[in-house]
Amino acid sequence: MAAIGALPHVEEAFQELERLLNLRRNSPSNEPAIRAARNAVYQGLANAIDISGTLALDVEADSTRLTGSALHGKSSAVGQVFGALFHHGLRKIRLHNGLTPEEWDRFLALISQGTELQAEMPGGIATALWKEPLPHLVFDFARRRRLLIEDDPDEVERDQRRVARIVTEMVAEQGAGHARLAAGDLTAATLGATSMGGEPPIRTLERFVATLVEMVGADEEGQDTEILQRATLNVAREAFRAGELRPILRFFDLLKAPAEEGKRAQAIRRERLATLLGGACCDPHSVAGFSGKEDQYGMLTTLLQQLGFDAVTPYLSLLEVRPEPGLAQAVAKGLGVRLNSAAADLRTFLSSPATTGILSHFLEALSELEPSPQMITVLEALRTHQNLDVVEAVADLLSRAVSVNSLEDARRLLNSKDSTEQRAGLRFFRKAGDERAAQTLVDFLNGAADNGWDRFALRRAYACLGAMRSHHGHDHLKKILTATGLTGRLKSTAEEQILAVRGLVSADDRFANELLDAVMSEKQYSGKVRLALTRMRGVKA
Amino acid sequence: MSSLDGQQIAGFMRAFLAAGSEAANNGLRTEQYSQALNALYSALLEVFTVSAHVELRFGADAVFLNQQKLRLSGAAGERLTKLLGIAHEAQWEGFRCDEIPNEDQLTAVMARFARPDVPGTHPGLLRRRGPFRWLEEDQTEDAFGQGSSPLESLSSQALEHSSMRKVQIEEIQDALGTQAGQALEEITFIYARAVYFVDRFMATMEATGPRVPLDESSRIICDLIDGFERDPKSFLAVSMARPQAGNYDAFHQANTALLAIAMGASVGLGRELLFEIGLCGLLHQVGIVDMPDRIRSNRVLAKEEREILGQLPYCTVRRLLQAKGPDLQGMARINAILSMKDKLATKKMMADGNAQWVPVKPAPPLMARILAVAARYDALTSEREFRPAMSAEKTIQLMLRQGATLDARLVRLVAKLKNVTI
Repeated sequence: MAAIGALPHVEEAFQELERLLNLRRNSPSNEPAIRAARNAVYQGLANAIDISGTLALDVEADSTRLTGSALHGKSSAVGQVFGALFHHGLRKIRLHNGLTPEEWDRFLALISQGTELQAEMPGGIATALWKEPLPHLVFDFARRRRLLIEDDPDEVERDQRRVARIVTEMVAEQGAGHARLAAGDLTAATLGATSMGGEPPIRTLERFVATLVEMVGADEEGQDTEILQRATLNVAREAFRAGELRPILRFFDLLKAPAEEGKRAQAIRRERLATLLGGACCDPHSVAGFSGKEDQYGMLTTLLQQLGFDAVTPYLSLLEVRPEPGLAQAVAKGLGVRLNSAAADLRTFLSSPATTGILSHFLEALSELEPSPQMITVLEALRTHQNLDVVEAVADLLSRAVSVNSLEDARRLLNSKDSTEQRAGLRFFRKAGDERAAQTLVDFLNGAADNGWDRFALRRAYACLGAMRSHHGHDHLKKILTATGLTGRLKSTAEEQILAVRGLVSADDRFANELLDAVMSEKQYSGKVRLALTRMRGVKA
Repeated sequence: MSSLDGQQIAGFMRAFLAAGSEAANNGLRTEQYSQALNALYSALLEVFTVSAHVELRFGADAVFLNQQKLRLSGAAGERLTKLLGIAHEAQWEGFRCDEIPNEDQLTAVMARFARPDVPGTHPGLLRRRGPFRWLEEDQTEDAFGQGSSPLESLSSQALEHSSMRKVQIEEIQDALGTQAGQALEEITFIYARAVYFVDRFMATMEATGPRVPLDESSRIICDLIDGFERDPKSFLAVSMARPQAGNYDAFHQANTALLAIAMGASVGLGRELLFEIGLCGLLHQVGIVDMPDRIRSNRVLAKEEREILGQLPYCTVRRLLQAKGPDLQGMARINAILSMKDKLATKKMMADGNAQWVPVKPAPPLMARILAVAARYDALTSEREFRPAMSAEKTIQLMLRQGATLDARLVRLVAKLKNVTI
């Protein structure tokens, strides 16, 4: 009777569950609505449990039932989920008094990924539910009545009974042993239990990789090709999921190591596995599951440098899901020149609202990239971006596409009003790095006031001059910081000193550092200069 | 057909009364009962030498042996009356046997005096009694067709209930000093499923891989761990089952799983690791199907054979990889199987010229160390085709001397679990 009283609440809960599953599928980003539906489901069930004490839901092929009343249709969203559970052997769910929202949410999360679990975990959803601490949810699973399709269930039963009988007889023969066992003390505490756990994922993966490589070596006729290929794919997937890339890099190294002499077939198999591994590292599903943190970013760059063009799309997509500056830099460095051939992907990535916050980091990290014409078209659209750092980074990238063939060309570009061309000119000076170039740049900077350069352009120019590490350049910077007038005061203004400091910070050599130390310690330099230096050094660090 | 002489009748009845009374009064596990049963079996064979059958009918105050009425007096009469009372209570009219039975089948018949509450129609009892028939039965009926429906017996509520098992379970319970009968029955049946699974998994193995899906093994391990949590003592009792020689592989792997679970739980491992450890134990040697028969059944192996045997873990791993692409836990299981024989320490010559044991780093995974100890213990205490079983005490002593490959702390843990004095 109590169960009948609870029925309306359970029906309501299942209607809300239907709504919840549809919301998750159709509007996954509508968090408030999803949360409300989730709460409504739980509340309905909690009300029902209050009335009946325990709810026993029968899971059947076409519906889930409470006291015989169907709670959903077969083709509904709930019907599909519970139909899958029925297929996995679930026959009854008991919800006991004390069920918490967290338990119920965990249950829903598990059954939602039921299909995936079935594919990956032995025992699938049944084992997954068993492993979870869900004290107020009890599940009854049907026992498998045969192991193979041709098995006769009655025969299986008879065989199992026969074994059980043998076991009983064997146990009975150990009578004396049991008597002694009764005197034993089996609590974990008295056995001196310690919390010894399993191995961390990275060690598990590395051991397994070593095993696979050993198996490749032992597989002289290629009979294990299929299982090795499958295991290789799984290594990549699990490594991404665990956020540990070192085992993959190690796997690549081992596969690419020269094979023993005369084992050409083995070398070919290794090469194929390496290709497969590379492909697995570009699998969108695996990449999307990457959980690595900062300590993995360097390895991610190394890994990406080993992968092909297929890597571009999934890793740019990853950044849309995880817009983190460090990750963006790692991906940009790793993908490098391959982005030149992926203009369409890049356009999508750069225009995505999700990546706005990491664009400057991403673009700045493309330090070695010379943009292709297609990429230039994409980047041009960002020249008016609201974020000045992005504009700077884009201009820097575009400047690499400007052709500069001589010092004269570079000198001419410095006079340009276009920031991209100015940068291209400066880049040429920096690359040349000789005294003649430095002198030319110094001459230009001496007349900079007349050239109409803005402060940002000047900053770049002084940084360039410092980085050239030339005598002329050093002398010029030193002069700004030390030349005094008749009164003994510095001739230069604080702004000019800050530009010189910037140049010296870029130089980063002994001469520059001695001078900068003096700036920090001597009183003739204003606090503004010292503050700027502190900031610059901080950024550099 | 010749009739029985007085000596034969007296001999049979004396033995029958002794065995029946001992079973009724003290159960089936006493030394006296064994002796009485031996005597009864001899007397039964004597009867068979004279007539081609044995029939014993229980009357109200007398018995009829092959149609000859026997009424006893004195102490023997009292014992007979008591046995007839038991038979009457069980609505048992007597038995008949037209073929020479074995001792186990005779035991099944005499067990009815120990457990009169078990009906004569119980399927387990019907199977165990062999050629014996109850006189109340229609002689033409096929007793083997009277089992409970498969559905009923496969449900969790309908576990194996053969009368002999009931009797023996009670015996075991007595020895255990617990009331863990149901738990013991449940664990026994789960264990039987485990043995059956491994046996079938290996028996149906094909070159391309196993045909039996691995999923069932997970369910078995979950059930075993639940069983352990319900009643560790019953769980360990079942792990004491020692297979007969020639029936080793499936039992060995199930035993290893049980002992490894018990060890893992004792050192405080959580459910997830217990699951992994149990699954690993259950499957740790399925590659044995790839080993030549000679290697499997011989103690003394040639060098090449030892090398082939050394490949067993790899064969197992190949078979498991054929079955399923591993996830991270699967990889950990494979690592553990391969590391079971890894060394824990190596001898290193020190600067002072003395050799010293130095721990290997990284040490084999804990799962591998537990499995190594569990598997070695079970292997040594099991009877094999080429050697008898070793006693628990001797096994532990031997294992404690194998510190380079076995974790001594875990060996001591097994000793504690098995109540072996070191």
